[in-house]
Amino acid sequence: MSAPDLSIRLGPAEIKNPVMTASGTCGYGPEYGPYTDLSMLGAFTTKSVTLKPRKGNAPQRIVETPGGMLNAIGLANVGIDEFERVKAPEAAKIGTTIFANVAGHSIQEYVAVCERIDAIDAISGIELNVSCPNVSDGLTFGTDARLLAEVTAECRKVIKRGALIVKLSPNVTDITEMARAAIDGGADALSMINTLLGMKIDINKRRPVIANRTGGLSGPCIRPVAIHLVNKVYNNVAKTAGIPIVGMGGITNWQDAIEFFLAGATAVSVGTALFTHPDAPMRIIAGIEDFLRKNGVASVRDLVGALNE
Amino acid sequence: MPCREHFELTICIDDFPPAEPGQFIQVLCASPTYRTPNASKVNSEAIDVRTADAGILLRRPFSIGGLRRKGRRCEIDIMGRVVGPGTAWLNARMPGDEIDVLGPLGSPFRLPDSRAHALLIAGGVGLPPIRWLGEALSREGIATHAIFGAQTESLVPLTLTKPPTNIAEFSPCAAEFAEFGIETIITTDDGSCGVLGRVTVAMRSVIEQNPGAPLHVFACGPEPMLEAVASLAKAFELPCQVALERVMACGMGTCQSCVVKVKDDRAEDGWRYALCCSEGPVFDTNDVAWSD
Repeated sequence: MSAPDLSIRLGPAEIKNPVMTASGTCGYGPEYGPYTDLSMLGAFTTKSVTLKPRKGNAPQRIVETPGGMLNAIGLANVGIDEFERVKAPEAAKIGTTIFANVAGHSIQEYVAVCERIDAIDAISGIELNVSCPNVSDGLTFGTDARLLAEVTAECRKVIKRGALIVKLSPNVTDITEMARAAIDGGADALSMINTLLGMKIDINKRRPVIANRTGGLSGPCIRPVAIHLVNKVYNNVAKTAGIPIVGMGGITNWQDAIEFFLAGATAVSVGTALFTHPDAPMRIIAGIEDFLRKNGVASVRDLVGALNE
Repeated sequence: MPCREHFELTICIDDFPPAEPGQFIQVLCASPTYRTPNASKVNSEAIDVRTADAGILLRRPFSIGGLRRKGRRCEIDIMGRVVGPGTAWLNARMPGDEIDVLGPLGSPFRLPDSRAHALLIAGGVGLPPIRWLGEALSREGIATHAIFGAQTESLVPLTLTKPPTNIAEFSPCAAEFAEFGIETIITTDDGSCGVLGRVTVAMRSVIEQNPGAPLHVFACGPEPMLEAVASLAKAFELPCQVALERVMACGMGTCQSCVVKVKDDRAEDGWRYALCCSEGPVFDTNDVAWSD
């Protein structure tokens, strides 16, 4: 049997394998260089980029919780000027597909950043961060279907070359409504889920541990929620629309990745696991390939939504 | 020598990259099952336990407290305090147990030139990097003295070969420094061991007794202590480097959690966040924007 086909497609972006990194867990590229070969990744997603540089939130910014962690970094990033000048050329050296994650405070800001990033040849697409829970108005776009459709549509107008991926927040009543809005706005793909809002309290100080009070929960503890929501969006929206899902939420090994494919994801992103094991994605790629071979599955695409039910 | 709050471990590892005092390692507080193979050779039939859901998710950072090389083999000393499930797991390791470490990480102390006189200051669990720095300085032939402070005698993690003086005079009382020819002053907040008071009491006395000496201060310990040390060093115009501690996830500059406020003339408001894991943990105290 020939080697299984790992390639997938997200809109115009052709990707050699379905394993990506999640924005905010892998910097802009060079950080993990000494520890693992990032060129093996299907795609690399950068930390969020905003129009102006952002310092981010005051510390303490993270805390470990059972099976996961809370973070409230606050979109700390270098801003689009330095991204264009320094970070994008650095990311291009990784030698795989690069997606840039874009965040903003207004539609104009999103559009301005998207337009400039779409002009960078080394970047194959944009992931729209409409769901950062750690900035004052970060969730507005991700929790209001009308606004989400509007910001997606406006960004779509200026993203002429690259893929447009919209990252969905789980902090909503009905995520399928948001998925529909993003697709109506012209998204090529959906990525999900962003972190779940959470809080931890220091009982002796009687204060929240995170200076921002609340943070985004990530790690293995959110995986069942992510699997459920991916499956729900796949069944109710994405499958019919023919829009691929990039599944994420606590993926640490290849078994987790297979679970996401079966739930309906076309690709997966590894996030929190990178903090402990920067080489986790490479082990996941090898594990997926092995699983496909052993089960006689020709292409990873054949697993998407392939639940026996 | 561990006191009632601290534990010490020596980690043996082959081919550990070159490391310097001030650098740290990230320790996974869960059992690894096998060594890292090449991804292409992964035996993926079984659950990959190394990256399976562990109760404890993130690595814990530890300053390197000593490092000895014998051929390929490297021994690394760390010291810690049990503050949660991760450190409790680590504290329960027995000789021969395997652990998973990542490092060396961070930027080390910058050694002064040979004419300088190093004044090392450590508080509590801030001892390890200062002790290893002392070894490096003495090897470089730089005159070095140490001040160690704790709340009380039972929290002094040093082997005292003779009672330390209760006045600010150096003596070879602590074996961990004396073995490198470094004399020490011990201070305790309650006066139960050595000098009564904080490390800055002894530090001020040493500086005033040696006017004009080319002192370089190196410190590690609780942040209020480091701020007080930095302030005193500044008052006497002495160069001062400190190793800071932050809660961090990755230790490799990606998660952006371990920020330290530093002065930055290019910033509109005069400051920026530096990452403790990569720009630090060692900072020049004049660069740090202390609590304000």
